[in-house]
Amino acid sequence: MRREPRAFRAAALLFGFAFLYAPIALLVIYSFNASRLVTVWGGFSVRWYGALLNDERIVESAWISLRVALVSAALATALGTCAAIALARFGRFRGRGLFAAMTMAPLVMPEVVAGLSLLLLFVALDVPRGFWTIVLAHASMTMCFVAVVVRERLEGVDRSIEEAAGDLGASPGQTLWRVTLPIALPSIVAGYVLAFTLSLDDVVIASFASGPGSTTLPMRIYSAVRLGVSPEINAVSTAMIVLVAICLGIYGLARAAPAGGRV
Amino acid sequence: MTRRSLAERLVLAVPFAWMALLFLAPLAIVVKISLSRSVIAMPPYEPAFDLSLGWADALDKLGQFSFAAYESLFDDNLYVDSYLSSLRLAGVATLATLLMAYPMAYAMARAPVAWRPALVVLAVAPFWTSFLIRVYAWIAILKDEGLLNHALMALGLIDEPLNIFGTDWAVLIGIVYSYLPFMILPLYNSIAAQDPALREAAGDLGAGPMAAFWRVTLPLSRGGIVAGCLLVFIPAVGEFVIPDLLGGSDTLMIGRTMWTEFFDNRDWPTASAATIVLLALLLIPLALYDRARAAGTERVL
Amino acid sequence: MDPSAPLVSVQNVVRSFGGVKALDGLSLDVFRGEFFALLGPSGCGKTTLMRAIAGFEAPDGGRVLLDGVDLGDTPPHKRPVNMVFQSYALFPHMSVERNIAFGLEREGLPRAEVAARVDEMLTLVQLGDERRRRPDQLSGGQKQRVALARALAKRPRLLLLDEPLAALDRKLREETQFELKRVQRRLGATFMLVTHDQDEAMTMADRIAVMRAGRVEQLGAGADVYNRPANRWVAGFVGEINLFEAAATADCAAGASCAFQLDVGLTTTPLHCGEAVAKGQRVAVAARPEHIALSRAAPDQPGPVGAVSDLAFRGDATLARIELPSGFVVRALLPNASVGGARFARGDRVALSLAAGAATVLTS
Repeated sequence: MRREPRAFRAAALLFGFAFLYAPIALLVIYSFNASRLVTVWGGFSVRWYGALLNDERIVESAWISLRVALVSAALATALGTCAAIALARFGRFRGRGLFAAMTMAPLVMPEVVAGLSLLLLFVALDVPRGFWTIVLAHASMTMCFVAVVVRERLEGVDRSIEEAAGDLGASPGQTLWRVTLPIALPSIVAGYVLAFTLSLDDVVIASFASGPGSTTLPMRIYSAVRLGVSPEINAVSTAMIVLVAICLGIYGLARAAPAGGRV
Repeated sequence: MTRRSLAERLVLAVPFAWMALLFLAPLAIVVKISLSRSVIAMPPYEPAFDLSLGWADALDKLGQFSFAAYESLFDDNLYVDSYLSSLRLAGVATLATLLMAYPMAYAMARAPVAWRPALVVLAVAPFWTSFLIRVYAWIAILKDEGLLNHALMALGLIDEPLNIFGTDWAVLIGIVYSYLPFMILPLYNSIAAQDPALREAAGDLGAGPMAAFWRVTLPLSRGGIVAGCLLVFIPAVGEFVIPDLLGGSDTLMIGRTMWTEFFDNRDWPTASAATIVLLALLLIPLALYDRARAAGTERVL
Repeated sequence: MDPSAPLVSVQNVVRSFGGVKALDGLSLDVFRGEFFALLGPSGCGKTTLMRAIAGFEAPDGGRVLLDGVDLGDTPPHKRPVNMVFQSYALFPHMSVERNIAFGLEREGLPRAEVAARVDEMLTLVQLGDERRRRPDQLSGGQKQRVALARALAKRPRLLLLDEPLAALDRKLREETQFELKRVQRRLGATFMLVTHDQDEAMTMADRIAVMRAGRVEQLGAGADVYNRPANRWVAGFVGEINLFEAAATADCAAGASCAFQLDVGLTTTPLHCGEAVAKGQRVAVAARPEHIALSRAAPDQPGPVGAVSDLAFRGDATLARIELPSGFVVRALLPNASVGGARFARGDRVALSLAAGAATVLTS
């Protein structure tokens, strides 16, 4: 069976990854382009990064996005972890089907639908739209991702570890606090980072949930992008890519932590 | 062990209440508004729900519900065309993504074990990078005076710039690019989970590499194919950013049509009705998937 | 409290899972200081019984008493019973000593006492050098000892061991069997072992309850269960055995002895009858392979004669399968040490005989 077409497999990988990474690489490269013409290389420069820092509106939006992401990811992590524990550990309970469906549905729901329905809720409840509505919207969307990540971890953990805690005298609450949560901690960290990057990226739901004075960075980028490619946008995109790469590194480390699996 | 402590009840009740308020209630409101009439006011529909006027008032208003918004969906070719065009574009893009992802997933699953985790990270990492930025990156490439045309003309392959940007082709490329990781991962998982001894057994029984692939590997990865296609198809149908940035003014996709209806035309009842119809459309493949999976589990058991 | 009263008394416990009775009105007593084993094939309910005693399963009916007190709905964390889990279930995020201290801290013991008890346990299981390691840095045998130390640290009135050796390789398993016995004797504690491995049960336990389909088929010392199986099922489950259909040659009172006529054409020496049998009554006579003797058959040999159909070398002995003309197959274990003894080859015609008094009469 060594007659497999090795060259074919190598080509598939090479071509596939080139397709995945070339656009991002080009964008990063051209963010250092001295020329304002986005398709002509005019030498290396960091002038667009300097321009970014002087653009008050970009800086303000970046700050809003960062705050929204930090707060909504914290909420999403708390909610998603609770949901994961309920789904992975509580066995059958009334409303389980509905609960599971609600936790999974946003994963496949078009963002336009999620955004629209949340906006209609805010209007119906007469909630003024702004920072906090974006936080709520993002937390609702990203908690599902947290729930999936944490649940996967919990389901990989030997149930008898928690039984052992009970056997040794820990009440259900103590078992949750001292055994289940510490074991799930890496996945909870991973869930937070995932929720953070998803929130940082989102433009559609934020557009629905935001109000005057709460324009997030992706919304700002979006309105600029509709007008065409510009070197400033290349620079701000590169900055976001770097931030996400750092998050991804943390996520990878957290997921790689040893699991409390079976012997 | 069925009695639950207060802590346990909270663990369940808090996310439950949250989802009820921020997922179920909004959907209920969408349904309700889709049954309302459009008016020029704020909010731009009636009857507006106002529970403070009591249940009697709410019940009274139930009588005023109308299917006008749904009728207008089908009166207006724009909507029917948007749905059909979305399904068509998403379908073609899903197929293209599958054809692109399968060789990659296959090569990843057959790579040396030590490489595999790194390859998976490489395949999934773009998903983390901003969707918006990744779509944006293609603008610079696909534009008439963009990097692709520059490169092709410099190589002498074409004389005139290809007009890709602003067409359905660009939308197609955008969807394939954006959703490729969603396809690779389930495919990879289903191929990597196959016992290598199965292929060896096929070889031992006289099947060549091609026969082993068609008769063993491919059928066994069916679950991954179905999962991957749904993970691409469902969000692609409702996609807004990609057609808006890469497509032309004539690129019809329902997500974009809804956006316009909502923000520009301010016809909330019609946008809501369009949402409900879209969700109903998306439930069909999901239900099929669920059934396929249930059947698959039965077979395994 | 009466020291001869049972420590654990399981009374008519019933537990069903979706119509299947895992425990079918089961009763048994375990006494203080005893090493007790629940032995049975998978699905016989032994694990369910253990989990009911630990509190992880609520019986549908019946009671479990500990020192005469009904455990009722007492949750697991309030029962003075501890368990060594099959998977060990060590807390992966805690060091060896934190694992052992976990249960003591839940009791709210003073810190110094916790430390002293942890040290004592580490010495007991000889893991002093590994105290700061995490479970994933330990070998299988070490994990097993941590699990034991963690459960024993609480000084439980009853220690439950759920297939504690299943994850160990064969050599280590034997060593650990003796290690467990040593610990149990030293602490004078009561151990209850769940196992599907009869050798394990025989090696370690003072008494064995052989379980099948949620009931106890036989309860007694290992030697009793092996030498005097209560019925055909136990005889077949514990060790290798030949079951001969037979008839009584005379009326025989319970406790008396009489000879039996085996259908294969052999009359036994007088065998002890646990129950009264009437002349001609059909019974089974169970004989271990080591109690069957073979000799070369003379051409006009009386009694059962068969052909050696297979020989399996087992190191200290050779297992021979002898096929009788009726098709009935008898297994005989021939010690290899007897250098001068007869050697047989496949196809040899051999005559069978039974060692005097070594077979068991089974009426059910």
